[in-house]
Amino acid sequence: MSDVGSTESPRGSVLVVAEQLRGRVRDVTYELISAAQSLGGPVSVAVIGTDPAALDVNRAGVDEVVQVRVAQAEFESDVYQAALERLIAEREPRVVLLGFTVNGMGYGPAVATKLGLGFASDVFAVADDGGSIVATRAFYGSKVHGEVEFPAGKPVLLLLRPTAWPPAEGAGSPAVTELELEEVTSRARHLSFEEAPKGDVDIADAEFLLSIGRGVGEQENIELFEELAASLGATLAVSRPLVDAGWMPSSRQVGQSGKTVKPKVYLAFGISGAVQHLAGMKASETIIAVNTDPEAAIFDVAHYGAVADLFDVAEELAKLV
Amino acid sequence: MGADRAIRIDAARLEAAPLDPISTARALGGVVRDEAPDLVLTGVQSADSVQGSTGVALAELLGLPRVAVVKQLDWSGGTTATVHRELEGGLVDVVEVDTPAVLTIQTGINAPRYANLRAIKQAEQVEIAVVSGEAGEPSYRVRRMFTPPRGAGAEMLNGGAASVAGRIVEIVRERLG
Repeated sequence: MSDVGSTESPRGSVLVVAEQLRGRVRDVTYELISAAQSLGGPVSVAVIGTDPAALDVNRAGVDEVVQVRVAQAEFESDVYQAALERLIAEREPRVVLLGFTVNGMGYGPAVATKLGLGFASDVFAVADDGGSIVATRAFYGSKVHGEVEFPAGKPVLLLLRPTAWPPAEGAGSPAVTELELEEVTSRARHLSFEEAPKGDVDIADAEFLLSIGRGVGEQENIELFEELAASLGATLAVSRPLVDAGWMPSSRQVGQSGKTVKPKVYLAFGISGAVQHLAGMKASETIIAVNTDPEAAIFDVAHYGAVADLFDVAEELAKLV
Repeated sequence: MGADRAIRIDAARLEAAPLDPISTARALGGVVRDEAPDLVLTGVQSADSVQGSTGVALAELLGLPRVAVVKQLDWSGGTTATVHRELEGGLVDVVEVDTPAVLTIQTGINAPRYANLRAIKQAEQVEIAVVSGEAGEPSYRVRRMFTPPRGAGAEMLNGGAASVAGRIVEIVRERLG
């Protein structure tokens, strides 16, 4: 390990592991940096890749960037695990932050298990309470929130919910450290990427989305909402269960594994509001939600809500347009 | 739904509160190690706790390769399998994984094979083995639980379906200009 900067490696720091895909840093990385800053203390950002210097993780408040050079260009679980274990051993961070993302889930729990760390995932708030880390996450299908605390004397590894923190902005003047990782035997190897199929319409371009979920009940009912969307001048979108059931193509899916949308109006019918769905639509300008369950999480992000039967409301809407 | 055997694992701490995912993985670990399967399939995440971590923690305890969030699996019993990892935005990462391996399976990978009445009756006759699992020390403790304010930022539309529909049309017209 060679220090390009002259600072000592910070101890008791917050360590963020950047996410990158095909040579680009993913947005969640900047959100992790914001969360790290909110905890106080030095912030280190590790960036792992074949050319880590080309990846921009310099944001205001970042004290150190650790460039970890590896042989694998894209994410591989064993490589990231080896890199993170080395980083933890060398810098003894008090907190490690990864995204609650497909990559983060792919190696974070393994590192926490092996090193016996404090661990929680899908965390959407974190605080330092007198030296103890307290993380907030949802339980029981988001009906209840819980604050969790961690065993003393061990670093805490958290997978943070994407879109829960604002992205860090600006640029700082972090020390840059290079870390060369000895070759890692990767037991799950990246071969190629396949793009998501393009649909007939791009729901991310629509100004007005009528979005339907499990509440529609039967495949036969989808036609009703296709007609309603057409007469409203809206584009029809769906939540994941309707794609899983094979009723609608994935190109129409809103959410973390589908499209992120920000229409002027998002009209949600029968969508309860799974975390991954909310992440894909909560930035919409106006959200109107109709659901029979008054406890549905969709009402947390809605600007207007109605606890009503979606078929009754759809029928009345059809009369008006 | 097609399983030949079932094993129930009782973990002492389960009686007190739901386990954190690493504790769950420990409780599962002994049985899975004894079974020594060629593939271990878990779900991506539970519906109630959404931790997305148990399968990958289990793989670490077993010393096995793992791939999280798999929505396609091609394996003919050889020493490697080819899997599709579903990334954010629907991008697919095609991964070759050495077996035995742990895969966490995403919803939609297959149509469930629902059992018919005869199979359900047969299944009732099968004895389910019960073993105890050791969950170990928790990786977090719940300090406080609370009900989040529901719909705090939302203006609720009341007065029946016709009135709700009327307001929706007004709001949409106003916002779309």
